[in-house]
Amino acid sequence: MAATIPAMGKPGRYALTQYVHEIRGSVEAEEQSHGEVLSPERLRDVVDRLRDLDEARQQAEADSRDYLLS
Amino acid sequence: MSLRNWDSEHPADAVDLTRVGAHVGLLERYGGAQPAVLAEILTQAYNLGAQSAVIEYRYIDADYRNEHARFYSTTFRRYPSVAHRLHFFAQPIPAELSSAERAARFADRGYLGYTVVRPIPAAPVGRTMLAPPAHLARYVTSLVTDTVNLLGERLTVRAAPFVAQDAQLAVCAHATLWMIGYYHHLAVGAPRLLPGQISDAVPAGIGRGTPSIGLTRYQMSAAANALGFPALVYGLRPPPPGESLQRLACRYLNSGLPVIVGGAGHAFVLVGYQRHGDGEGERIRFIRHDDEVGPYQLVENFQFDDYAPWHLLLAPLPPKVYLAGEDAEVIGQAYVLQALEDGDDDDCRAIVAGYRGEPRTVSFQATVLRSNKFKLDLERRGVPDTLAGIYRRMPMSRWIWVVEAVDRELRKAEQPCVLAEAILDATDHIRDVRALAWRVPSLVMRWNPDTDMNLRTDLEPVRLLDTVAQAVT
Repeated sequence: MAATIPAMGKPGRYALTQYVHEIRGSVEAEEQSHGEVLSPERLRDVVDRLRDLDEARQQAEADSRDYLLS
Repeated sequence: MSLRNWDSEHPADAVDLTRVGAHVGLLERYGGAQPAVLAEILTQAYNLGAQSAVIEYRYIDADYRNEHARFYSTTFRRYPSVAHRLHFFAQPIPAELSSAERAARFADRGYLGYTVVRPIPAAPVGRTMLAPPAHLARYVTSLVTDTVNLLGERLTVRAAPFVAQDAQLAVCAHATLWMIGYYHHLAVGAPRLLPGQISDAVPAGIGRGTPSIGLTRYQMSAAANALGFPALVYGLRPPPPGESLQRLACRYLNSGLPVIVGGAGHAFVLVGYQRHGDGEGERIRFIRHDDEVGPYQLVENFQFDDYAPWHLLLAPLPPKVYLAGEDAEVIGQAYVLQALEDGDDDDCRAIVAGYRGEPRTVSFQATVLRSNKFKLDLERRGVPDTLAGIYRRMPMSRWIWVVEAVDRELRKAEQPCVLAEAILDATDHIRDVRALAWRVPSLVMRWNPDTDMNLRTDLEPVRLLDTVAQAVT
């Protein structure tokens, strides 16, 4: 016989959590850690490179050489 | 082109393209004063194997109607307000076409696509969705599916959108924006944009806006923003440090996103590319839509192109892609290399050696795609169940950059070539570089942006996977 959920407010009310099945993976994370993943040197290289690319884009957008495309 | 005969008593006519003179007849009827682009389209249709065409009369084309309302209804010369639409089929004309009892069916006639013919002798070619040439089809990455209703029957074609400028309301720059807009409309559900809207989106410059004599890069960039596909602007003389035209363009083409190039006063759209040659002699041959020549034009060598030097690249993006491709590649590559160098196994060491060696056998490529598509394609790409399960359950941003370490020889041989990858949030902050996940052969790491925790899961060694990139090399 299927279980029934008693009406709200009546004795024996069940929390929804009893009917919920968590979706879990079959493989759990073995390890959790906090903090920067990239080494300081690599992070510095990334930041420098991103800055160079951003400056190049700014230059492209501010380029006063404005050709007509027709 | 005689506009006196533009109207017809019939809703449509069929043309037997195998009859001598059919090609010339269509050109004489519709070529007008500028037949070159239509001639190229007819040639491509024939090369696709077109045996018949259906001319749809009194076709109310949204684009041409808009052009007519905005411009051609204001001229002394009168132009009809309806267009014709030519549909091409690989099969002969169905016999039922001349039957009064049975309706002709077109769904199984090998639909190749259509071109809208404007009743404008100076600019006859309108919206065109024609399948790519057979020898280029696998290299065209910006294909979308369009649907037409031909005499009550639904037909679909997969093509890269093309239109020729009308040279009054729209010049080449407007035409490229239209092609990008129609692509985004069909690919990601963006609103459909009509020529008048594109013209209105262009901020005023020096000189008249209509008839237009051309757009500057500022105007094109501003219009792309206003139209809903904000564009990154790249100068190509020189390109950004460490970058090249090929790397810049191919990143977006790999993602299926067409890009606009400017050179020699002309603008056109790149819709795909092909790697040609080997080793040091390898070069990229781009495939472009040139609104003055035709669709799917193969550029043998962009450095010696008619429009060389190419000086400008605009990469229009979906609005929720904030991270530029070159930035994503720098960040993703860093995470993958860090994990490989921290790894203590032969697989990781071999990949690093391939990347750092001469000649380099491992390189990185970045592709932007919707995370839903990424998750849907995991099984097709050969991702093992364990890793696929991890990726499927990961919350991801709507758009992600996937930065892959690939074996170059296997990529060239069109084999599974992905050795490792990083997944980046395409809306993430450029001043706090993060990856959502990064994987090397025996390990996957995930970063939880809500808890700022890194989660590590060891894997059975994952071998080569298919790439997410749309390009075939």
